[in-house]
Formats: sequence, C-alpha cells, structure tokens
Amino acid sequence: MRVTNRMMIDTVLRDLFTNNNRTIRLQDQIATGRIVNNPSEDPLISDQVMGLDMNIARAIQYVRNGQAGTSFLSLADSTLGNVNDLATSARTLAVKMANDTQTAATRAQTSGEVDQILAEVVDLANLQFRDRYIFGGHETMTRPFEITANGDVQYNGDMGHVRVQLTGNATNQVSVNGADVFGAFDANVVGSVDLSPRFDFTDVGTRVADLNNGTGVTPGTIRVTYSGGTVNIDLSHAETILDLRNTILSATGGVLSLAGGAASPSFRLLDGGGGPLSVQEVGGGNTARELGLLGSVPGAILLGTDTDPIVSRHTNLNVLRNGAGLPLDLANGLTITNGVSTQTFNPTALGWNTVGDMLEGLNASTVNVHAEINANGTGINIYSRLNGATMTITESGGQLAADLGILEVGGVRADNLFTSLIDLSADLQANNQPGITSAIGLIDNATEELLKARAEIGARVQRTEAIKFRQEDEEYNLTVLLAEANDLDYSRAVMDFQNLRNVMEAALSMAAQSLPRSLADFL
Amino acid sequence: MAISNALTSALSGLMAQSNGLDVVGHNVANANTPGYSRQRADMTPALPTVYPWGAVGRGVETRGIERIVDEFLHSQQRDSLSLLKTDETMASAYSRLEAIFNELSENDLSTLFNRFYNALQDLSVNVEGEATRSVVVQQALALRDTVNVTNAAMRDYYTQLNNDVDAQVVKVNELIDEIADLNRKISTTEGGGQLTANDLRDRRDQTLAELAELVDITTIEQASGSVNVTTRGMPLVMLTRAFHLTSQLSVANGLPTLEVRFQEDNSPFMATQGELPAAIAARDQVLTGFMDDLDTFVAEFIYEFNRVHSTGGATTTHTSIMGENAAVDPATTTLDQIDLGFTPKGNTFQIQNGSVTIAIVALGSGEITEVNVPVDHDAQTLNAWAASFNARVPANTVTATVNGAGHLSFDVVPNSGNGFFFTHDSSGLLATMGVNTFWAGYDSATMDVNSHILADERLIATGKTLAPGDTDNLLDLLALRDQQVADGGTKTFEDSYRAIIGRMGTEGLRTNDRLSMRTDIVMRLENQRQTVSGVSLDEEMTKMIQFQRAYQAAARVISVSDIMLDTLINRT
Repeated sequence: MRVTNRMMIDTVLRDLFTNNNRTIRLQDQIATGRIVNNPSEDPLISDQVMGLDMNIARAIQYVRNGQAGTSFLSLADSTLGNVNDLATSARTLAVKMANDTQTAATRAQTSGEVDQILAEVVDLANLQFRDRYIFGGHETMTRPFEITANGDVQYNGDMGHVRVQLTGNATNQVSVNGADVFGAFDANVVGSVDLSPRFDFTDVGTRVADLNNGTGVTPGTIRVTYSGGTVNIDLSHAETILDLRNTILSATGGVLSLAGGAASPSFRLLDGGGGPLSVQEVGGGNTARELGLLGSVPGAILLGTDTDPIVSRHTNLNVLRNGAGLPLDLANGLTITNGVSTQTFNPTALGWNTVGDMLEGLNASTVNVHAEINANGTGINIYSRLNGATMTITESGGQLAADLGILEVGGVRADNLFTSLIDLSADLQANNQPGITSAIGLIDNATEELLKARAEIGARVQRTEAIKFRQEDEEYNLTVLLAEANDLDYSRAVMDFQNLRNVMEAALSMAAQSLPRSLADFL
Repeated sequence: MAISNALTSALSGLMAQSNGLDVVGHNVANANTPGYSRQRADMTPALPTVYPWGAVGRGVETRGIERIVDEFLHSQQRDSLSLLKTDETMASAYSRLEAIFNELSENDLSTLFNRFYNALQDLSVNVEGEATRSVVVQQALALRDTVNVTNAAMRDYYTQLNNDVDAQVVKVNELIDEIADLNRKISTTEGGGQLTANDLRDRRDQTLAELAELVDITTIEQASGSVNVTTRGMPLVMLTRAFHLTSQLSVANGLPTLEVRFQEDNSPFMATQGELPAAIAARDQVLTGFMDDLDTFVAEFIYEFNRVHSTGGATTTHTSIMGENAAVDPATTTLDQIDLGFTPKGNTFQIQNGSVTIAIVALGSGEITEVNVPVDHDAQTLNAWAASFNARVPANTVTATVNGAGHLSFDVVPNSGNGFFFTHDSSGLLATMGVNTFWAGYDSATMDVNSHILADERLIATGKTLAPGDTDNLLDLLALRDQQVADGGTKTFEDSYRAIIGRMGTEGLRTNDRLSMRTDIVMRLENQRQTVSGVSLDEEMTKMIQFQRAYQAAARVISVSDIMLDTLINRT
C-alpha cells in the first residue's frame, strides 16, 4: 500500500482526538463524581437515576411528614397527660367532699375550685400549636371549646382529622379531635333507620357513583343484544342514572329503555321490540355486573338486581326510604331542643330539597348541633355541641323524626369529663352528698376514656414512627442504589485517566519521532 | 546526421526530464492541499525515423500530465460525507436538547417538580400557615420558570436552525455557481480533446465534496468534461447552469419556519442527507417532536391538576371569579366542540357530560346551599350552560356570565351577603374554562400560576369544605401524582416526563454511535483516496533523483555529441 504523508498525519490526529474525547469524559466524571452526566451517555442508567432521585426526594419528604405527625400527636398526648392530672385532683376533691364531715359551706367553696379545674381543662383543650387549635378537627382557627352562659361546654370543632402522606399510596391520620379525646360529641342521636333511597331519574338525581354502597360503577362499555341486534354501549361518561337511560336510548334508536325496578332500587331494561334481551361485559369489564344488569332473558324485560345507592348530600329528600316503599313525611317537621334553645324544622316550609340542604339547615340553626351522614351512607346522625345540656328530638305534628330514625324523646346528655366536672360543681353547690359520691365514679369513667384516647394516640405515634423509620430505610437503600448506579469508582477512574495519559504521551512522542522524517532529510 | 539525431533525442530527454521535475515540484508544493490529486508526467518514446536499416528512436515525448484518481472512490466519498454531516448535525441537535433540558443536574425540571410537590406536602402538614402557602406559590413559580425557559430555549434553537438553513442555502447556491463556472472552464480547456484540466478538476472535486457535505448529490460526467449534479433526481447543475435554492418564510409547527424550494419552478427540495436536510429534519422532527412532548406533558399536568383544584374549597370564599380561558364562540359552539383559541395537547381541555356543583355560602350564618348544574356537552353552548346555571341557583345569590371576550365568570350578586366555591365538577368545565384553577395556560410556553392565586394565596383550594384545617383536596392533589393520568391515562406525570428524557437519551446515544461509525468510514475512504491520489514526499524525492539523474545523463549525451562534432569539424 502507498502510505502518504497526509495519511500519517490524519491518523495521528484522529487518534489524538479520540484520546482527548475519552479524557474529557473522564475529567467530567471525576469532577462530578458521577458516571453518567448526560442522558445519551447511558439512557438506561440515566433513567434509573431520575427514578431514584425522585423516590429519594419523596422518601425524605415522607420522613419530614412523619416527624411533623409525631410532634402533633406527642403534643396532644402530653396535653392529655395534664388533663389527666387535673381530673385526678378533681377526683381527690370529690372524695374529700363526699365525706360526711364536710359542711355545706366548705362544699360550696370547693365548688369554685372545681369550676377552676373545669376552666383549666377547657384551656388545655384549646391548646394551640403553630397558631392552630389542635383539638378542633378541621376547624383549626376557631376556639374549639368555650363555656357558655348556661355553664355548658360548647364544642365548636368537627370530626375532621389532619392526614398526611407517609407513603405514596395512603394517608395517615396524625391528629385527634375533641370528639375523639374529650367525647365532645357524646350527646348524639344515631339514625336508626336505613334511608335506602329509590332511583331518581332527573338530571340532578341518583348518581352512578352513589351505587353499590358508594363504590360506584367501573366506567366502561356493556354489550347489549336486543330485538334490533347487538350494540356496544359506552357508559363511561354517565354521571347520573338519567345519563345511563339517555345513552342507552340513543344507542338503540329509542328501542331500549331503562327504568327503575318495582321495589328495590334496581334497573329494569325494556325492549320495545319484544326481546330476547341479553347484557354482557365487554373486554373483561365489570360495568354490567355492577349495574346489576348482567344476564339474559327470553322476553322483553330484563330485571336487574339491587344496586344499593347510598345517601349523599345531593340526594333528594323525596326519594329517601322509598327503596323500602315508605317516603318521608316531609309535610311535617321535627323539633330539636338542646339545653335552652328549641327550634322546629319543617323541610317543606324551609325549602329543603336535598339531604345537604337539611344538614346545612340543621348545622346553621340555633340549637347547636352538628348533623352528618353516617359513614356507610345509610342514615343521618345528629350530634349536640353542648356538653352539659340535654338534647331531645321530637315530632312536630307528623312522623318525620321517626322516619329519619332520629326520634329521641327522652333526651341525650354527654357523659364525659366536662359533664362530670359540671355536675360535681353543681352537686357541691347544692350540698348534694349522693351526687358528689356518684361524681367520683363519673370522673373515673372520664379518666378511663382519657387513658383510652392516650393509648390510641400512643399507637398512632408508634405506627407513624414505624412508617417513618421504614421511609428512612427506604431513603438509605435508594441512596445506596443510586450510588451503585451512578457513583464513580474513583480509583478506577484515576487509573483509567493515568492510562490514557500514558497512551497520549506515547502517541505524541511516536508522532514527533516519525512525522518529520522524510527522504528529503538525507539528500 | 546521426549526431544531430542523438542531439535531438537528448534534447527531448532534457525537456521531458525537466517536465517530470516540474510535476514533482507541483506535487510536492501541493502535498498538503486538500483535494489535490497527485499528477504524473506521461512519457512515451517519440516516433522513430525509419531508415532502410531500421527505425531509429528520436527520444522521448511528454504526452500529457495526468491526475491519478479513482472516480468511483470520489462518489463513494461524497455519499459518506453527506451521511456523516447528517449525523453530525443530528448529534449536535441531541446534545443541544440535552443541554436545554439539563436533566441529571440540580436545577432541572424533575428536581423542581419534586420541590413543588414537597412544598405541597409541607402545606398538608401546616395548611393554615401563610408561609407554607407562599412557599407553594414560590415553588410553583420556579417550576413555571423552568418550563417557560425550557420552551424559550427550544424556540431559540428553532430560530437558530432556521438561520442555519438560510446560511446553508446561500452556501449551496455559491457552491453550485462555482461548479457551473468550473464546468465552463473545464469544457473550454479540454475542448480540443488533448488537454486535461487537472487542477480545475481537482478544484471541482473539492467543491463537489463541499457540496456533498450540505446535500446528498449524484454526479454524471458529460463528454465535454462538465459534470451534471442532481439531488434526489432534481438538477442542481446542468452543464454550465446552476439551479438555485431559495428559502421562504412560512408558518409551520406554530412557529416561523424557513421552507426550502427550488427557485426555478418552486418545486420542493427533497434531499434527505447532508447538513441542510439534516438541519431541516432536526428542526421539523427532532426539536418539534420534543417541543410537542413537553407541551403535552405540561398540558396534561396543568389540566389534571386544575381539575382537582377547581373543585376544592379554600380558606376563603370567592365573590367574583373569571375563567382564564376564553371561548371563541360561546353562543353557537356546543361545549364538546369548544374552541378556546388554541389546540389543546393530548386529551386536555375537553368538556364531558357531567355536572358542576356550586356551594353558595351565606356569609352571615355560614349556611351553605349546594346547587348541582348538569352539563350536556353536545347540546349546550357555553352561553346556554350559563343560562341554565342562572336558572337553577336561588335568586339573588350568584350569577354566571360569559363576557364579550368569551370568559366565563361567576359573580356574587352585589350586597347579597354571599360567597361561593365549587364542590364537584365531573364535566371538566371549570378546568377547561380556567375557573378556580391553580395553573393558568395550556402548554410549556403559556404555563403560569393563576393570577387569583398570586394575588391571594389563601385561594389555594386545600379542602373540600371551608374549614381551615381541611386538607382533603390537597391530599387529592398529592395523590394525583401517583395516578396514571398522563399520556392518555397510561402513566404518572413523572413517568411521562422520564419517558421524554429516556427517548432523548436513547436517540442521542444511537446518533452518537452512528456518528462515530460514519467518522471511521469517512476516514477509511479518505485513506483509500490518499493511497491512490495522495502525494508521498518520499516517492516524489525518489522521482526527483530519478529525473535529475536522467537530466544529467541527457546533458551528458549532448556534451558527448558536442565532442564528437568538435572532433568531426575541427580535427578533420
């Protein structure tokens, strides 16, 4: 082969460039301490690194959340410890005053001391941390407890909790509220009747999401075979059961109609062309089954199964209990008396349409109650905000209270630390020795409740700590993984670098020796 | 007779050897000239004089000076140069994009995304704190800045690629002009058929190689010595005529874009290899593809985040709120066809059937009236929905209006003592119209924090109710991070973004690998060309000695002949 001078120069140059490229990459690696600094250097590792970076950032945040959570809970716990001490001193007073030797005057005087203890308990229950009341549930900016003019302890909070993310897929409760630890909602009437609503085919009627006890229906498509053939009907955008009806109607050219079943809230599919009818799932979905419509019949009517819609805020009052065929007596009202306040609520007169209207109406009224739908979505509970007063719920000419399952003629009164102190004070004032004796038992009960609450807080702290530790481990493990994936092995890099330098020097010296040589030198 | 014959032969030898030495000098002088092909004096014996006793040679003749080239190698070299320049341009595009996204660093988009979410986490622990709220807003602004800056950098790069295209069009035109000119000179020089215009041909080869770097070309040499140059069947040079390219400004990919065409008949420029088409492809495919990916990611993040945010309650109620987005035709377009004046990326900004629930708060008593207003997306226009809203809410509370510009707004009736927030929206209407949203905008260029939030951080919708400690909506926003809502509901936001960077890395790596392979090929071909056409100094030195000696020998013959003549003339 002819080897020309240009070839020699080009080859030397190219080799030097290649070498320089390697050197610069190594320098970059050594300076940053990372193997991969640009995604194109190694897409696989860089993707791992991005994923690990994100998960590490999360783990660190979850640990922070856990720390904040445990500090809330520990604060609540230590506060309850102080409350417990106060309860103990009240008990000591009660034991002392229950003694036959005490005079009416001493007892009346001690009554003031008990009032003082009550005020201190209320003060502790109004504890603030970072400018927020920690025992008020979600009402963190309002003083949760106050002593009313009538001597009752009024709870202004709710049953909300602070929840934080401690893992990617769940939230954890890291707070306790006044109802949890002080029994502030102990005076309550729990709806004893399943309000099972019937179907409501209006555009603000029953929602698909309310079916199946509130778990709703998986959005999807059903396959219907009817007199007009077989169609796939996409029901994923139906919000109300009216949307379901309209979607099915338009998909079948008006031949198939959807209606409510005779008794229970179930669907009835009617084929205007006479059937036979069959409803199937499409592609492994669950939509037809969850609508209770899966199946086939030789005739024109397919009767579905009970879909169990829940009661929600937007449920209309006139469909409640109709699943059971017993509509509410909405023409008449109910009367709530709580302590000194009384109010009568007539849904028709007040223009209440939905359950939400009723709850808001009750909550905004003067009788100091907090009304809620129960956790299962089957009924309504009424909680008195007053500790010390008695709440009754009676009929106002009809049977609405009974229909809602909240008739309470005898009245309910809270039985907790507040009421036991209120009662003790009153009994001392009235020199009622049997009352004072029984107050000891009440205080004991209340103390026990406090202990239970503290035990639960302790359990929560432990759980939170456990998750926090797990996240700390996670962070450590991920950091190790990240190091394995992308941390530079320095000794090796430095050796590589040294090696490159040797090669470079050898190449340069070779080039310096060979390039200048030519025949011309010897002529 | 015989002596003068010897003199003539020796003279021809002198001249031929000095020609040969000239060529050596020329070769040595051009040893480093790019594209130079070594030359060789082509010597043959001169035609002999025929005598009865035989043919007597008359010395040597220089028939011509030829270039030593392998034309096939040249065309191969040009092809591989086009490919090399394509890959070089692409590789630089990917490395530019990597620099723009700056991933794996401390201030990249993924880090800021993390920080934004961590600020939201901190808010969930201390939702009442004004400081924690303003940290959320600050981190949101930082995330917005990074997204905006990334977009702006990509737009800058787009403009720069336009400029590259423009400059390269000018360069192509210059080169084809030069080739046409060289064609003319070569065909004139070589017109008689005897001469070959070696150096002009070298220059043309060199120019063709420069052209091949820009555009992939095919060449066909004509009988006249001219060469016709085409790219993908379209002529660039025909004999002495150049067909110029022109770049015209149009709008493509939503940006001012230079489009390349032939000046002559406005036909499209179809070349696929070389710097010019590669710059066009880098602009229209690579860069535009990543801009589109980022836009889709951002649009989905904005929209899905806003969907959750729009139905939350803040610690304060609204009295007046105007949507960020405006419908172009609220009177006649149905909601499913709504035109917001931009093309939404992915499945965003679309209104479905469903309903919107507004909670109207009587500020005095705190009593809440919730009103559910259905949304019929293929029957209602925006105006019709606003009218149905107004018909359903109690009189003297809140009214919905669509203003002249097409913004949907909700306003409390003055002095009615009400406030409001939203508790439910299964239709996406609020997020689509930009009502009660956290983010404003619809892609990476327009992404911003909603001005309401900037003005009053308390309007970050953290709860489902107005209770100050309620974080239920905030927890939904946090949970959204782990839901597969991006990329058409197949990925989480983070995975969707990682996929973009993953694609960038994989394609960049592939381009770099291809580039180093092509560099090797080009190098090898150049070595091959050097083997054939390169100047070897040793070889030239050897030849120099050869010619020198031959020259000396010929001179010797003359001097011997001279002695012989002297003997003949003066001594006889």
